[in-house]
Amino acid sequence: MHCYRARKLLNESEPQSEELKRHLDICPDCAQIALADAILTESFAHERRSRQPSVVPFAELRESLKPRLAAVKPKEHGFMEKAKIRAMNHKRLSFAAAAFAVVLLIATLVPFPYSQLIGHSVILEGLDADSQDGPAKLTELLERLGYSSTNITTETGNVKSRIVIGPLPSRKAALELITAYSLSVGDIGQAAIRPIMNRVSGTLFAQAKNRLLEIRVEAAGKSDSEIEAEIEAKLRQQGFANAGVNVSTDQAGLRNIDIDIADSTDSTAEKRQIKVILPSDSTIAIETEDAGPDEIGIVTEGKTDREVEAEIRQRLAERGITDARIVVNTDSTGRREIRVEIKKER
Amino acid sequence: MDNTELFWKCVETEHEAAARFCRRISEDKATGDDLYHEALLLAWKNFPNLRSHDSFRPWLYRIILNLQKSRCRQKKTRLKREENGVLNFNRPNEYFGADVSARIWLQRGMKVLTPDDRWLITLFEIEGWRIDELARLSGKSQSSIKSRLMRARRKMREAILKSLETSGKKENQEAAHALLSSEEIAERIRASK
Repeated sequence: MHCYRARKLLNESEPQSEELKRHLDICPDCAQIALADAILTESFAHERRSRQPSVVPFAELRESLKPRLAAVKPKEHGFMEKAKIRAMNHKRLSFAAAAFAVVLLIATLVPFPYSQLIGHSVILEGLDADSQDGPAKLTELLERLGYSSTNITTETGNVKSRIVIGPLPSRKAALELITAYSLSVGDIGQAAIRPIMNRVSGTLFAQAKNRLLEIRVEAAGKSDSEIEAEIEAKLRQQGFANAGVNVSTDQAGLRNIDIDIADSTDSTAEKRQIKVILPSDSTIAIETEDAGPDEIGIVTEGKTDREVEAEIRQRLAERGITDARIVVNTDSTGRREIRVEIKKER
Repeated sequence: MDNTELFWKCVETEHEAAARFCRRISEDKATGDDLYHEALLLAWKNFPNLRSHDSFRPWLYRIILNLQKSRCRQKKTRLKREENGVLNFNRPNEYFGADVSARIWLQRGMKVLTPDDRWLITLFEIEGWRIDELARLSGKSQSSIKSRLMRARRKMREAILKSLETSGKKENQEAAHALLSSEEIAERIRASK
């Protein structure tokens, strides 16, 4: 037997095997360890067996403590004391909760500086300084395009001048303006689009809230086209100049609102979201990898699985999705499971 | 059964062992008894907060240990490891015969342990506590208690081994002989020489 194995067995405090005994006979080092272990075991045994001075009998103890116990009133811990004891008993959990609270406080109370995109500006350089109709033409074009509140600043040099137009709500709006201006005046020199960033300070919560686009539209008593126009106007205010909004009401009186804010040329409007409002029991949520939840709605009541599947396929086809995998199953309890898988377009 | 009766019923089952334990961890018998009484008063005061009466034993010992620690702090004695111990082995006069030798060896072993390991090893090896009871007392897992006990025992064994190898080897060996009378161990001592 190897010394390593012998010492491991000695550590385990198991009764000594014949093999171990043989090893101890030939290995003085391990024998010494075995001796120390035997001394320790025997010392503990002696201590356990040792004659202890007798303790005060229980009845006597009870009698002697009676007046002192009567003077002490047992009390139950209050809420804070209990909470403190629990926190002490679950130190890791308490630490995690405290860390979470600190992070939450930092997120909601401590402001951090961050950059906020507030629009785009168009810079036209290399224009002829003698040409005076540039700004006037631009003002006219801006009015026609619906950006009448945009400023035009002209910096005139000796030979060439520079015009800065901004802020425009989106990159697409800036491109529109450049295109329209070049069509109307011909040579526009060098044109550049620059994002206008505003350095602001806010809490993490405020930053997250700031990035959410929220549009509130009062739909009661309004026609589909009125709602459509209102949503489009509000989206335009938010910088989505060419959002596609389609509002329709089906036979059941349910109103469907489709909003398409996809804009490949505009870096600030990359996300696409379609939201259809329908009764809650027949809403299907489709998760796409990068576009957030899309919802389509169908009335499933009184329809077979095949009919439901066909209807979903048709609705998706209307959105240009033709390769979706749809599985509709109804279990023994009547609960219907609908699974829709859509491949992400690259 | 009212609270007072329930309390005394719980105490009755632990009385002998707890009173002895208090004496073990105190300087002398009177201080040990005083510690025990004080612990009982504190236990009585907080008895309504004991969630389950099955946990009375570890709860009472926890009170005793905390009280003892607090007493040591109050005395402002900078506690050396040997003085902060669970076992006061410096009282051989109260004991007889081979017990003295056993206490000397235990004292040597206990010196190298941390105070917490001393509580554990005393309760496990001498007071006969089970692993699960120790786990409840210390608020640690059973496996953690097991490994701590194993490590503590190994440390104690190494300390004994060291004292066997140091100067006064002859006296040490004789002390070992006094403790271990079996033929087998005596042979082993000879083999190790």
